[in-house]
Amino acid sequence: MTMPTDSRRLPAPDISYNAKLFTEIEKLSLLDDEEKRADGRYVTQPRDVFLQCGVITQAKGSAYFEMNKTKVICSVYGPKDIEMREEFQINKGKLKCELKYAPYSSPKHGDHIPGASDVEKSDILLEAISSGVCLQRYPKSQIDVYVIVLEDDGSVMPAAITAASVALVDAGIEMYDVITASSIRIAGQDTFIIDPTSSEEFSPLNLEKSNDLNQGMVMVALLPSINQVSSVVSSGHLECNVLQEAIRSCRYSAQNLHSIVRKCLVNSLKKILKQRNTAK
Amino acid sequence: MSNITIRLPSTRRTQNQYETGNSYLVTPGDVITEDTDYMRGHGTYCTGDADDRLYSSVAGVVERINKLICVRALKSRYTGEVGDIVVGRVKEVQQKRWKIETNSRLDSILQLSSVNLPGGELRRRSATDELNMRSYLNEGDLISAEVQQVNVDGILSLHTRSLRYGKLSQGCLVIVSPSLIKRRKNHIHNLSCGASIILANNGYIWIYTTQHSSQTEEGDGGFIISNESIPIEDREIICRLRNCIKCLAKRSVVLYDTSILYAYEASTSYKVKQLLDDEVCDEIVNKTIYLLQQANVGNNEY
Repeated sequence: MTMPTDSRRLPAPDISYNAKLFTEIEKLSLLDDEEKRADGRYVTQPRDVFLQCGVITQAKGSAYFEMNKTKVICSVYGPKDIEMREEFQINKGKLKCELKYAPYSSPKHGDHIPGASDVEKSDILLEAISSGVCLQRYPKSQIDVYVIVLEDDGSVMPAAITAASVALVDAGIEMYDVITASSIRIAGQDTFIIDPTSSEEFSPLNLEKSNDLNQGMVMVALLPSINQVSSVVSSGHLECNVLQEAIRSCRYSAQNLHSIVRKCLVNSLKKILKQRNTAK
Repeated sequence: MSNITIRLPSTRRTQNQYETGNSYLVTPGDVITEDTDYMRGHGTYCTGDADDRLYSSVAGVVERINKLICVRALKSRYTGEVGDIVVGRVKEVQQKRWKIETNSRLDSILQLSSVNLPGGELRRRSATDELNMRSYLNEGDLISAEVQQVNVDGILSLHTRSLRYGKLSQGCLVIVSPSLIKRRKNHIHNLSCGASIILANNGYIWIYTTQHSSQTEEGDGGFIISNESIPIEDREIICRLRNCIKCLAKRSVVLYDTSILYAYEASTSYKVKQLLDDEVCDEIVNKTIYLLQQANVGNNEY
């Protein structure tokens, strides 16, 4: 449970207590009387998104994705010569993903140094993206994807996956399809909450007392145009049929993101073309 | 005593809104056509099996040439062709060759047998030559070369077997997108403003002082570095050229000797460092575009 702490910071004296012990723990219920969530959304309503590509001029491709308070930025470098000679593959290229949380992204990330959970998240990102990239067109090459989470308010993985795929397209890397993702929180057999914020996310600490054992989170990454799922991640305790229903809802939600992603990419293309046409 | 200007992004003039053209834009996963008659080009894929549809694999403009459909991405690395001039930096010194970084997907290769060694061109490469490779080209050196061969996996084989190519000594490197360099018969120019320029096809532009005719008989190339001091007027010309090229590249104007010269002439009324301002940059580029259009209308040349 304890995250590795930063050894370079001065530790508190031995007899001190954390201030959080004395604060009142507010247990917010997920849904109020009118079936609305804490921020006024319905259970099936995702947050408004903002997506823009080409934000980092130094990188080959980049994207900035915002879902209300969750903000991620992604940069893509490559294709370039592979760094390590041993990982050389003749017939296909290598994709390297790195997901990092900025220290100011959330209170719990304030003083922690990258541990095992960050590597795990980078691996999930890699798995979700790899099915979409035409790696066989880049033999002996390497493509680097770096995602930084600027602010964490829930649904970070879906935001990172979508931003990474838009950045890859912006960099001109050949792909089968863009990749969109969505996550869902299950709080009981009939309660599916789409696009949870950090207070709504599944964690053993903020579980409501409930007779229903179905508590968990599911994330699905999808290739929308060809309707193929590239990654499913679930945590918690879910019955089979509940899991199936959750995956179905997630797929639908990820499919809806496709039009936004497409519009953002086409707008960026139009802007570049207009610039080139006026110069001729 | 120094003048520093800092401006917020909001005070800068923004570009006008973009209007829709009549080009066909696609993103990865979009279906381009369901017709099986077309041949697949770059940037497309089809899943085979039962599905005959042609999908796009990049975000770009669809180009159709007769029966060939390809999608041209707007951002791509340099893909070489035989005969192109490239400027690259030595990244690694290996057994009998150098690895050169040329802004392409994979690093290019310069074989030891493809360079001119002092002592005559037809000399056989001995073991001592191999051991002394670092004395000719070390890591970090900038060279100009020509593409001899393009391998199957896209790696370019370069050669410097001419006096025009070789190690580059004193000058300024400007990196632009490879698509902005116009394909011409000649890529090495002695500009009338007093400097020389190499417009390499991979987007690396090298600006240097014009070598005077009283130079060594080996010419501009070879491995001899001239470390003579460059006078301040020449340095200013090189600086001005570099800023002009950066302005043109920012507005995606195709770069060739005429366009660079027009931009240079338009910039003479400003100080060199004023060219870094956005408004001055726009003004110079607009003037250049106007002059180019006039020239095109007049000569109808391409």
